[in-house]
Amino acid sequence: MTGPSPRALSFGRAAARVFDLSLGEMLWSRRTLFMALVAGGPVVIAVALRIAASSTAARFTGATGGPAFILGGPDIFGLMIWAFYLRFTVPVLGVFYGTSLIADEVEDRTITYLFTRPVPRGAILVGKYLAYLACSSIVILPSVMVVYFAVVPLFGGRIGAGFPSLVADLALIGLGLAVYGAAFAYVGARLRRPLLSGLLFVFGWEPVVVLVPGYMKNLTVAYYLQGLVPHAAPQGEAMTLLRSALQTFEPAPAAWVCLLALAAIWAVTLGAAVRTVGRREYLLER
Amino acid sequence: MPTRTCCVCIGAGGVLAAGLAGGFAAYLQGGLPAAAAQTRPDHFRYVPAAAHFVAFADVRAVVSSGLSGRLEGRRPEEAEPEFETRTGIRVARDIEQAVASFAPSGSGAADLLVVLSGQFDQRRLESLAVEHGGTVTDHAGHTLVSTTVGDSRLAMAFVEPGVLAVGSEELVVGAIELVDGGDNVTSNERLMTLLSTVEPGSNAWAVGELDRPDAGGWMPQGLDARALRVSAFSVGGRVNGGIRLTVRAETPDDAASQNLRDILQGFLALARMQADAEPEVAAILDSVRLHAAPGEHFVSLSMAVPATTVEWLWDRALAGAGSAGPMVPELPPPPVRPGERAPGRDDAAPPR
Repeated sequence: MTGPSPRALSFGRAAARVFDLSLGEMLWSRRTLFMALVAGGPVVIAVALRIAASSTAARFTGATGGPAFILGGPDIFGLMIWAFYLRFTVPVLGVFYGTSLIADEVEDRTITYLFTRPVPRGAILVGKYLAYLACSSIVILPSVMVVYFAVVPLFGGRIGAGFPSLVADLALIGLGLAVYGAAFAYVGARLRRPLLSGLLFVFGWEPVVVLVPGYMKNLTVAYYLQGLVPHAAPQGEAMTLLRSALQTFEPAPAAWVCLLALAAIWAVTLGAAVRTVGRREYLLER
Repeated sequence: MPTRTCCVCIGAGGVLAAGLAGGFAAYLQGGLPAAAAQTRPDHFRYVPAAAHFVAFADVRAVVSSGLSGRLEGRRPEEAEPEFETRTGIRVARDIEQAVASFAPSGSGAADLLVVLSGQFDQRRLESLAVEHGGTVTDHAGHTLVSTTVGDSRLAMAFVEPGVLAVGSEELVVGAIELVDGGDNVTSNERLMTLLSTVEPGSNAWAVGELDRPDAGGWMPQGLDARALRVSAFSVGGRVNGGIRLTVRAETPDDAASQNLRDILQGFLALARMQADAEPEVAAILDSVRLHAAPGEHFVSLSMAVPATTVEWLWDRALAGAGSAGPMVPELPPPPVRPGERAPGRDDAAPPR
């Protein structure tokens, strides 16, 4: 005699259940602890700057008596957002979490238990992806907020005047997490060694390809993400000088082109990841 | 969801929400830790509401900056002692803040009022003024020392301990009358709006209206703002490791701002052509940012001058001043009493 077969959950409810289950698991993993340390770096630097600014002359000069760049608090904050968060933390979080959404379950041989539940396979990936977004936001966004309040008031900056930039920066970081996460979720669902591939993409492909003239830089996420940075970052003179010294992408595309391209990358890669998880047979290694 | 996960989510969300709420509140109020440059100096209360030009310098902040120290070492030692000996004032040591203003006078020119705060020897300054022909009167309980220089009546008075008002007699008397309150420059909406455009963090700035019929009397001869169609301006400078300067000129319409931008661009292009031999000048020109956008009705120009370039400019200025004569502030000569010979007058000159 057999019992009644369990009723299959809808895609949305299934994704919500997986999200609920995965969030706690993800939040208390060693990976999150490591990422919290990474996100804490800018906070430490911001606090150190704050202490230094209160005890020394508020100026930054070039090395060996070179030209002096006088930075304001908003300029420093814009630089930190660009260098620490958008160029490092966001891609790294995307790689570490995104590639692990499915790959960890395969490696731990627990994916069978998920796939035997009466839920659509794609909902498992979407639920885990949403948990990744929540988890990475919990790690990064408060860190950005602390850095903002510590750094922006330095050297004549004003909290209120920089508020629109803060909102834009938070949105930009959220967008970066979403797009990188979706792209690497697909990589994790598709490849056997997704972490290595992801790290090669972030630290190999993206920095190198932008130096090559032509259309190759269009095949990166960073190109479009950075195209939005000048619209969000403070526009001080010193900031412009520093940005022009560090800028590798020329010329930056228009904001709407960047947004459209990022939305397309997000939709295509997340859709492909859902499709891959729904159709692929994962062979578990013994 | 486990309790500890829930707590972390609420904690992170709380930090985010509190930060956004605080930032938004500051945005609505115009910025929580407002920069010193955009706060109105206390001594604004002595400046008349009719003023059409106001300038401020946080002398203490400028002097204590690293740049000032570097320039101090390059100044000839004998530049200040005479002024200091006679007045007891050493600018770098004794003056904290300075506010200067111009207000229209009845003659169509502009009257000047300077309000200095710091440490002054009141008796010494008053007796020095009397020595140089000043007459002492009492006005509302304040000692007013007045004198005539050319066609102008000048005066000085301590409006409060450590706060000296110097300038045209009319404005100094007005400053004394404003001690107990009254309409001052803070009620001049136009100037206060201009003040809000000064770059935050500036420790020296100036704002002025140029489109008023009675404005512009203080401008140097040959410089006509009306020809450039500039209606108002603000200048902010932050003296620190170097100097960061922002100039903003308001124009009545788009065409005027476009013309002004073109003039400035032409001037910059010309200067760049001639700056090849002077790397210091080229460094200044490279830092210049010109901004003008359709519909904004203003042109702004900003530049960052590194400390090394400031030193170079300072040396050149000193060299120029050295060839032109000593840079010692000169006091007006004492009046000639009957029967005495004026100092410096040629002894061979026949008596009148």
